[in-house]
Amino acid sequence: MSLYELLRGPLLWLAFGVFIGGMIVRVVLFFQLSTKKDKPIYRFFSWKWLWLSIFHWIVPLNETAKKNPITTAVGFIFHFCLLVTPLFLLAHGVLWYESWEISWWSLPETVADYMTLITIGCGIFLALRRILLPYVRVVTTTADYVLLGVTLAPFVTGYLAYHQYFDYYTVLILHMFFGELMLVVIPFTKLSHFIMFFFSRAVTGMEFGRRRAPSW
Amino acid sequence: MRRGYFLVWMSILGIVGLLWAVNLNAQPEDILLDDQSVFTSRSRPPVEFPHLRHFDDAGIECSECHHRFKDGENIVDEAELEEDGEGVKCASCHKHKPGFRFEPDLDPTQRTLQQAYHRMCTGCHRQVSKENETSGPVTCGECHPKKKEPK
Repeated sequence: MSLYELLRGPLLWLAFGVFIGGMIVRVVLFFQLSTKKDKPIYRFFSWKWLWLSIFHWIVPLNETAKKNPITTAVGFIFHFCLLVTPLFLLAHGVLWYESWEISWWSLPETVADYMTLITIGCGIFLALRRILLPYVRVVTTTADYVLLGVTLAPFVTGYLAYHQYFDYYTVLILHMFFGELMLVVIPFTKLSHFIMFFFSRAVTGMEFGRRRAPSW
Repeated sequence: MRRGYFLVWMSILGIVGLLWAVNLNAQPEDILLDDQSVFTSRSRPPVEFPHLRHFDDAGIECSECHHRFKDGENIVDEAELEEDGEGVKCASCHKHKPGFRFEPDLDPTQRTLQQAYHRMCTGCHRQVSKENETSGPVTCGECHPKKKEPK
């Protein structure tokens, strides 16, 4: 079995398994912990404050966005391109089609190419922000830089693979490896905010909501 | 003298016959899948398809790829695999559809040209490589290599 087949077959299954299974475990643990440590939240459970809080932070329509418009804009664009580009990339669509005969719309390849560059650019901005701003640096650990690197690596290698810079096969193998690595580390690291964002936002929204003080 | 003429005529006939016979089996070696009238805008370089290698090296029969189905059976006749023959070009049945979506293809006859190419080429390459045999490329850049882009 070639390295390509290994990464496309068993290791991809493993990566998706750890990613999805791991996230389910994280959510279950979150609920278990909340029943022990934060029982009152269930008494004040409110769909209204839950959705309002998630909405105001996902859009973004909050105080932080007003105070730091540039960082908010970069962060928003970063997350948008990070999620949309790989899901709607034509080359990935071809793979889904070939494996499962399923398909959805893809972005024009030139658009996806620019979105990849935008993702990398925003990532560099976020890294520089951690390095240059003292009040961000004090709350930054090595893990933050490593995780940002793990997140950007599939985009950098994907860009290089599309343009066929350097040795194509090696770059493609690295692209697949980093993509799978990113999926695997999500449940175990800060990257789990991908799902946990919704829960922590909901809890904060309800907590402040019962005091009639919006958390945004 | 007459015998000499006879030999000359026989030689000419022989050469013509030989050329005709050779021409019957003549196959295009490499085909550049680059129909400008179909693919008007491209984001990837065209595929250079090594036609000859597929039956010389891989030993694939014509009808394993070329097809014209009737009642679930491939009725393509090798004699009809000439230029403009119905079963010779993918594009005679599989039409190009602009856009960026591969439709779910539960009905193979409805596959677009791009789908037909991808299924026929990489589908087979993947299958053969599963059986642990030497196979053709399966990655994007190996079929659409930037270096070979015509200038």
